Amino acid sequence: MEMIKEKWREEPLYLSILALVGLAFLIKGVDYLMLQSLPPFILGVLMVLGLLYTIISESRLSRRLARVIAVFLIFWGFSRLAVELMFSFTSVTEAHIRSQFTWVNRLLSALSLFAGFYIYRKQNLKN
Amino acid sequence: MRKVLLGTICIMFTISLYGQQNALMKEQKQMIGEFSGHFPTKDNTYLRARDTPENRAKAADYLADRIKQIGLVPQRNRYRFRNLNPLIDVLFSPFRGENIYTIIPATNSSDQHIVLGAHYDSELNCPGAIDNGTGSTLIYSVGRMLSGLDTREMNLIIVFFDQEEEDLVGSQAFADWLTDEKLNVHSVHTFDMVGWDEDGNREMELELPTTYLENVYSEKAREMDIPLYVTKINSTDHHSFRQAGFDAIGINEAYGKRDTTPFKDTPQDTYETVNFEYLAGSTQYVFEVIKEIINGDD
Repeated sequence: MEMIKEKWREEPLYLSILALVGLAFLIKGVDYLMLQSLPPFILGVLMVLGLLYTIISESRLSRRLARVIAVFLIFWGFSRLAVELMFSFTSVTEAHIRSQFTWVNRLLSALSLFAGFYIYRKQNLKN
Repeated sequence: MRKVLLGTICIMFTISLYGQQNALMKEQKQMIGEFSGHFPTKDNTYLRARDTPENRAKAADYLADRIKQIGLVPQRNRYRFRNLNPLIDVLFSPFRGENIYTIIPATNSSDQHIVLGAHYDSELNCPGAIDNGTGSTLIYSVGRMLSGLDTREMNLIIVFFDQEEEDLVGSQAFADWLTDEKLNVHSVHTFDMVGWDEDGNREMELELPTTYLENVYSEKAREMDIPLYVTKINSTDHHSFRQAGFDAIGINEAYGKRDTTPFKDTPQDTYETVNFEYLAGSTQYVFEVIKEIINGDD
């Protein structure tokens, strides 16, 4: 706990981003767990455990793990935007997916890309 | 004298039947016209498609209002449902929608329920007059006719499913609801496209009926001189109920024999293409079948 407090004093923005990312994926996971879909929940739990480990440990593994999470966040945001782009060029009629191309969701995708790049860059600077 | 009396009775019976059929067709023309954007609804909006969440919500409100108009109480079965692929769960939000239903209670203390269902959504930018304005209108009319019976020995659930066009999500959610509510369900009958009969033979298709349901439908079809055939097609809502362990059947125009609308899932699936005479005849037939099940079943 002391270590987390100390990190918070050193890097409040970095820790806030990690916390928000962990919380967002955990909420999504619990939401889907209630709908009897396990993969998002497993992902959310792994994300939270991974982020906690990157905060409390200074090891090489922890830095690698942070990079993996960063790449995942970039992939997540990019995939959502890529699907939207693909739908705009094709006549796919999946109204459920189409209905998710809102400004709020675009903002979430962009925030995920930003968080991914930020975490990746932060880890590179530490090396 | 006796001959004259008999003749008069026959003429009056024929006129009465003709009148009933005419009234039914008038009701169905009005409903499909409004439901597919051919006419405005009473609040002066045009339901040109039932595709996006906003348009489906308008269609759901329209159906709820329609149910009220015949003295029944509309209920909303709102649901959220996982995507069919877990990868999509990771990337996107779950399905959201609402099935609109009403319960017509038995006139005795029966706990058995018969479910009549049809999906109300349409594909993107499609008016969906036949797919599935016709199925929705059929169950609405059958529900109205059954609610007017003096005796019903089973409860009836009339349900309009959301999101059939998206992997049968609405009917899956409703099947889950029936299971959660622990309702005693006798059978589920779903209708998808009952408005095309190019060869004019009044033929209908039964999809995956149980032996009992096939017998009831066949017997009534023989009496009413309606050709029937059975297929194993399971690509519409009845599949959701069979998967959940209920006895289910799908009924529609002769889809398997290609005597079916060529405008399915296109913007040309309009009011003008609906064969209202066929729809009214099929409605009368389904009414007779369900009446037989609820009042003639031991």
